[in-house]
Amino acid sequence: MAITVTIDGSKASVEEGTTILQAARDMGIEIPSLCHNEAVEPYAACRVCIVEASDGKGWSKIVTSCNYEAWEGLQVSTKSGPVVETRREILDLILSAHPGAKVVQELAARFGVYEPSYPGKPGDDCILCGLCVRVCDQVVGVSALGFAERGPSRRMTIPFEQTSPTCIGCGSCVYVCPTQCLHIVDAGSKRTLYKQKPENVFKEFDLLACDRCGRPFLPREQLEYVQKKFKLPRTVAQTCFSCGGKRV
Amino acid sequence: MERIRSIEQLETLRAGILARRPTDTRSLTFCGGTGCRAYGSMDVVEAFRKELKARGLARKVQIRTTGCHGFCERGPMVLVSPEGLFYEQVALKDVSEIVEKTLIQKEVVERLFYKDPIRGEAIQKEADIPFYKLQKRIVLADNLLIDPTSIDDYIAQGGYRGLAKALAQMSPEQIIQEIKRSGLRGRGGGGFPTGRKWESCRKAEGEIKYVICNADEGDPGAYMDRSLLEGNPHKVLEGMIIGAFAIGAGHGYIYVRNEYPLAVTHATKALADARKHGFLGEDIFGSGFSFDVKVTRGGGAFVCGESSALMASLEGKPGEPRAKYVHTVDKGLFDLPTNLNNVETWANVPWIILEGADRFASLGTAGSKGTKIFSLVGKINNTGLVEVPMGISLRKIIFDIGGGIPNGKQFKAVQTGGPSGGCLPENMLDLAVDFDELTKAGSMMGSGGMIVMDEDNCMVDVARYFVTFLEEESCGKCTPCREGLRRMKEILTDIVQGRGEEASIGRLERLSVAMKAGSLCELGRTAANPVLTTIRYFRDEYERHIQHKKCPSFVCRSLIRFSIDPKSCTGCGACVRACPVTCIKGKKKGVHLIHQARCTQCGSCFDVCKFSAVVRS
Repeated sequence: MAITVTIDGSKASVEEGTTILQAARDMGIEIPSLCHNEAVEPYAACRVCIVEASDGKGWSKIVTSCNYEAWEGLQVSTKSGPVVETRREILDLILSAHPGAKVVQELAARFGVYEPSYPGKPGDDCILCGLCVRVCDQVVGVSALGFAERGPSRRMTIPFEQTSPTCIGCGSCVYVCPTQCLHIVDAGSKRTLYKQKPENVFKEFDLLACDRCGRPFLPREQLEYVQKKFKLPRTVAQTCFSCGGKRV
Repeated sequence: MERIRSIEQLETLRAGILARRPTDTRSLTFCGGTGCRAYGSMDVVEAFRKELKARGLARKVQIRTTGCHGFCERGPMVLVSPEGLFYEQVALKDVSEIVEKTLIQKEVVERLFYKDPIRGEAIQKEADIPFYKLQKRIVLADNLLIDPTSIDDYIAQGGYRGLAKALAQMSPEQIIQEIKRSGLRGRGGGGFPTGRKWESCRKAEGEIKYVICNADEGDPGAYMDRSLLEGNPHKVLEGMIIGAFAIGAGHGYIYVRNEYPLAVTHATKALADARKHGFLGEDIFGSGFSFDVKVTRGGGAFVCGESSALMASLEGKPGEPRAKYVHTVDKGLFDLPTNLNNVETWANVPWIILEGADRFASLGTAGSKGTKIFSLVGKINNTGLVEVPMGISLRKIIFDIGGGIPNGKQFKAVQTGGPSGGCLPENMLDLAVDFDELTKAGSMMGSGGMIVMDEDNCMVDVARYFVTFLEEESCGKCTPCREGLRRMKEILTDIVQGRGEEASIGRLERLSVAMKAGSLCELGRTAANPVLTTIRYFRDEYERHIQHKKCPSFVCRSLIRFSIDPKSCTGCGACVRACPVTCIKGKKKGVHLIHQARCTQCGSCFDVCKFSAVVRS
């Protein structure tokens, strides 16, 4: 069913169940966000995508647009006074905690925060957006990343701080990380996944060598995962893609 | 045990229980709540048993251990029936005297009577003690009368009559209407109308529905839910069964903190006994309605008291809240319709069903009906649990029931609503305590914590304490709560350590606005309350700390200095012996001196000096 919403004065017809963020982006209205990616469930943790929702009759509330579903007659302001003020303070808080994160610096500057208001040192760029954790769980399906501790001590890490038996070294977490604090590096027949600093290793992988050219090309865990997932015969994919790839 | 299938069978069972009770014996009632147990009440009970046996009175005097009476300040206590005598702070050495004098010679032991802290008079009977007399107990009343491990005791007090009435004579819709008409609002903090919640959950689409009892009470100093679940688990359970029937739920959970072992034990026992009697399980009261409950223990994370975090924890996931734009009554536990209420809310239900919505609604104010249990703690004479009608003034609770402030000190503030409540000053003591008035004053009802503070409390330090608590307990998922609380704590720490700046108050206020508007759950949204209310009502204390680097209450160590007035010092050496860092020097009978660089401002010297020679500045 289609419903009508008004965002920053412009009306649009959207499908029921559409989030404000989706509706706005479809309309070409930009709402900033740090923890949202369409590939995964909304998380509403960074709080940067807040907007003011109202019914035009006196009720209004600041909500996160990434997970607030539009309803008939909903009016949204993406830049009302309270929204801008709150968003600025939130960006200031994120920038203060992670002054070295480039994406945060740029976004904060766009909202007038050029210098963090609170003391902090660059070093930890992980803004706890949870994109890596959710992608690993919901897209890849191996749940090799998670959070430890709570409050300001909360950090993204591998479960129980133990090398994850389920991580396949696919690098999805690296692609999705908005602050680029996750890294994957191939050197010789080794692949290493680490967070922030090379010494903070999450997992090391032995790369399988191509049975034709001999070049290392794929972590064993990834091959086994793909074979299991697609129920492929064990002989498949021992050959690198350059040498003819998947078919034997 | 035969399953009870009708009101008549329940009444027959009750009559049988009452008939078996000896009528000619006297009885001694002991509080077996956690507070009194900590005072050693169970040892006292054992000593009485031995003493009675030794004197051949074991059959003539009944001993009953009940749940928490609420008068925790004066425990362990003994109630002698039928006289109604109340003995307080009974120790092992008092046991034989009570048996000899009161039980054998029918005399009283005067020195164990309660003495009114204001008027100083000794009061013999429990019923005459202002702490009890001025309360209106509809939920807690049975705590004094029943052994929480005995379903017979509960049935004897009319227990499960509400359930029988609801299942035999009312439709689910009628029950919901009755709860709606009563005006009952959630006692866990939010104050949402209970009947409306039940109605939404009943209307929610889905075959499988759940009810949950939130017993994850975590506010510092608050223990009303604990005492209810420990002291009267069947009452909570009866409320849950009635609610489940009204909503159409087949399964229920009691989510209780593992730190409440007695509550876990008593709730588990209550479930087993209720099952044996047919109050749980298949075809309850022959109505065709089936329902059962499990006890689940929580790990004690404060945030798990938040309904969506609690449900995540029940599912075996980390206890983190999610946005509740889709309500839990529609998509709650395992994404199925779920109705969550807290212990006290459930415990109100049987009374409403039995006594009627009108009687319940006759108590309280326009917007807040019934009674509320508060845990009255801090600088107060009568520490304990207090159940009062909504709308009563703070003054009545603190001074009439609570007996005022100890040691003749001056009242300064009362913090209501737990760590994210607010601190209200003396000129608001006449405020009518209900959901709306407290919110208007910048505080909240919360689950009913009430911490009284006197002139010796520094309000900036108090704000810092609560912010520190919340910072540690924040789940850390959303930015404003995680980072905002961390920065608030930094600023408040700066202020109490003498590094406050002119801009500090404005910074705190800006952070508060962002946290209130931007946080994901109520923990973050309300976390600024202690800061905002202390700024609003005690701004001068902040300014003294920031501008003059002084703590008017002499709490903030970095801002106080101890010295010895040579004119008053007698050289007795008491301060030398008390000082833990040996920084006081002086000859016997000569003037002593504090070595400032080594002094940790602990105040031990100040406390022990009998000549007021140690001076704070």
